[in-house]
Amino acid sequence: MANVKTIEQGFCSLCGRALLPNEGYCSLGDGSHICSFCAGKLRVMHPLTLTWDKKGNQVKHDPIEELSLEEAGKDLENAIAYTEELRAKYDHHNAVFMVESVTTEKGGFLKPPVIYACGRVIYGYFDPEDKTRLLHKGSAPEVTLTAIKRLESYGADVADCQGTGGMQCALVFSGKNLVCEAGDLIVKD
Amino acid sequence: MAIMGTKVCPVCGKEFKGLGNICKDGDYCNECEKKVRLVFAEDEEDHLPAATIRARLNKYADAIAAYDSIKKPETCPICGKPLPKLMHMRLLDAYICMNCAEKAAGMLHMGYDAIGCMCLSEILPHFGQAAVRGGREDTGGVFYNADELRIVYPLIRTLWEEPGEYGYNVEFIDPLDSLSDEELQAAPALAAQRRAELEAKYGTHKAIFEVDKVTKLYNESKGRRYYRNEYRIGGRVLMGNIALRDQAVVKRAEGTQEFTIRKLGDCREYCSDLKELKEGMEGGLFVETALSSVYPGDILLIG
Repeated sequence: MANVKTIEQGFCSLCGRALLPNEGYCSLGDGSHICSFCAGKLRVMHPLTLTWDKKGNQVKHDPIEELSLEEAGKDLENAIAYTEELRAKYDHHNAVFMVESVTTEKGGFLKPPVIYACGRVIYGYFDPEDKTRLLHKGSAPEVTLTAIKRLESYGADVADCQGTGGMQCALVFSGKNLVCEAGDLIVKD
Repeated sequence: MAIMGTKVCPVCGKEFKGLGNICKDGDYCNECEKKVRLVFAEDEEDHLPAATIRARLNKYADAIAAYDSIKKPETCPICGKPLPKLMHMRLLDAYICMNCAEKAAGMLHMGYDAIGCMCLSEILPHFGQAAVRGGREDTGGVFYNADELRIVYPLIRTLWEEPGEYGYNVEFIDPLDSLSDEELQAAPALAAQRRAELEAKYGTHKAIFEVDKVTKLYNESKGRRYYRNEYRIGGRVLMGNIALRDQAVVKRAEGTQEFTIRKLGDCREYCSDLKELKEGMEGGLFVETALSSVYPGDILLIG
């Protein structure tokens, strides 16, 4: 029979929303839970780090899980001020992506190579078909993103995601004579 | 045993002749079938054991006995509006209008026809909910408008598990239903205090909206996504009401960005047909511009 699913999950300690099974939640260091929306707002300040061990298993390090409820509440109040500081630091671009590694793939007959720029979104968000600029050694060619992939499956044929602030992902684009290296920035205005 | 021979009805225990009607434990008599028709919708009794059918018949025994003596009233006993000649629903012990029957079907998560197999006393408590009535009365009879209290007691969004293709449906819990009289009487003052706090913090505006998520919209065809230059800004109305074509402003250190709200939707991402987002509601603002300077956590000032 039908039943309400969310009572067993409890409520977000910061905003009071019900924690829904399809939206996920984040457990804090003191045992309280916060909803995915509040976690998303904190993510710019506390980016998620994904690494892989020798066996190829994914190891997730989430700094939000180490915060207490009080710290999380304070950080949530300062999240927008922190984003403003980052905007000032990065020349007031609307979104900034830091490239950490690059993989290139042949694009096919007479087609330019496909570039997978793996790294982290510093702030803002990137969506497929966004017009961005690749800042590489003083040059800033315009590139259109063809896809945004999760870091764990960027080579696979999986659905696109949105690259949001503090998240590791792979931006996929292609173009003639494009050079992309670790340390480059991809920005959106 | 002959098909047309004498059988014992598993529901009432009496002997009967003829084919009878099928249930999980065998055939039951035509006398029981007349009663069963009133309390089961869409032949659901075909798959039920006789004990379940008997229990349901016993539960509604009084209503079944008085079924033919019920006369159609002039007005709907729930909403009080005149009862239409055809657009009404016959319950076991009453007549209600079609609008109320549809509302009851939604609240009880049942098919429309199944409402006709119930008594008015089972349906009526659901119409006492604050969200349905638009507010709640305290024991002194003073009515408190729900829209004015949503700033401090917003509806809580939950999911209702539905067997079938979609799995879940959005369901709301109304915190006003569980308030004590003292809390309800203190709620208008709390709401006024919260409004004053927000006005002191953000200034006087028509509405204030807190951003939770910004999503780029796309059309999907043959497994491919075709992105459009349209965005849905999901979040919650902190104060005031938002209407279509309102101007939203977001303040940044280097200036302000202004955009027009083209569509409004509720908390479901695919819904975009609302005319107004009321205070305390979760919903989505749809904009048709390249949007990249609105972040989760931002406050939109609606002018």
